[in-house]
Amino acid sequence: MSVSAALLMAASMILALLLWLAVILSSDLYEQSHRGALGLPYWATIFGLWLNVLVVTAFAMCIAALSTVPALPLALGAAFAIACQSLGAVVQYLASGADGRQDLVANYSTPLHIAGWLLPDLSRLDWREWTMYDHTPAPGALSLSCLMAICYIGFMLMLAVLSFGRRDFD
Amino acid sequence: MSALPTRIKYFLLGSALLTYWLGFLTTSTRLEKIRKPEVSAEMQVILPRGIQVALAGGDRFLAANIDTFRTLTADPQNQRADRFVIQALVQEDAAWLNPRHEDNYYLAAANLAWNEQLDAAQRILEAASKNAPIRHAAAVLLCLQRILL
Repeated sequence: MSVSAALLMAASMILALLLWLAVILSSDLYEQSHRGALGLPYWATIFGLWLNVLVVTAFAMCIAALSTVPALPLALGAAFAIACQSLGAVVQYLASGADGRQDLVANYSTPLHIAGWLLPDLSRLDWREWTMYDHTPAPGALSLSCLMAICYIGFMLMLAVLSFGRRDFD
Repeated sequence: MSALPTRIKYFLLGSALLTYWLGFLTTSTRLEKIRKPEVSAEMQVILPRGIQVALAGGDRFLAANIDTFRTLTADPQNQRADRFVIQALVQEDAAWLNPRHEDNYYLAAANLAWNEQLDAAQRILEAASKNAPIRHAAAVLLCLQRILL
C-alpha cells in the first residue's frame, strides 16, 4: 500500500505540475472572473485528489484480497469510485427537498443513510471550487474529510488483512 | 505478530477494524452536518474566440448565437457584479462574431448598460449600427444612450 501510495503521489505530482504549467502558459488566452488560485488551494486540491485515489486503491486492495478473478478489483474499484463520488451530491439533493418530490425523499433517504455507513462520501475530498471559484471550505471540513479518508483507508486495509488471513489457498 | 496465538491476532485485527470503522462513522456523520457551498459556474469563464468558432463547427454565426443563448439563459437571480464583467466579454465576442446580431445588441443595451458595463454596451451598439440605415434600432439605441447616460 505504501508503494502504491508513493507511486500515486508521484503520478499526481507530475499531472499537477503539467496542469500548473498549462494554466500559467495559457492564462493570457482566457478571460475569467477568478484567476485560478495556484498557491495553497491548488496544492490542497491535488492532495485531496491524491487521498481520494488512495481510498479507492484501499478498497481495490480489499477486493483483491477476496477475489479470485484478477479483473474484479479493477471493475469494482471503478464502480466504487463512481458510487462514492456521487453519494454526496445525491444526499445533498435529497436533504434539500429533491425539488419537492416527497416520494424520492421517502424512498431513498433510508437506504442512502445505510449506504453512508459503508461508503465514504468522496466528494468531500474534492476541493476544486476552492481553486477555481475562491470558495474556501468551511472550517473543520478539510481536517474532518482527511480524517474520514484515513479512517476509511485503515478500515479497508484491516478488512483486507482479515479476509486475506482467512483465505483458503488450494 | 506471528508469535501471537491466532485468536488474539484476530481479536487485535478485529478491534482495529472496529476502531477505524467507528472513526469513519463519526467523522462522516459530522461532515454531513457541514454543507458544501453551492457553486454556480455560470458566467465564470469565456473561451478564446478561435476556439468558440471551432466548437461551433467553424460557423461564426452559430458561435455568436451560442454566446447570445448563454446570455439569454443566464440566471436572473445571479446579480453579482463580476458576472456582468464576463457577460460583457461574452456579448462583445458575439458582437465580434456577428455584429448585427439583434438579440445580442438589444440584450447589451438592456442589461450591460445598467450594470456598470456601459462601454461594452456602446461598443456592441456601435458595431451593430455601423453601415446601418439611420433608423436602425441599434443606431437609435446608441444615440439614446449617448444622450441619456
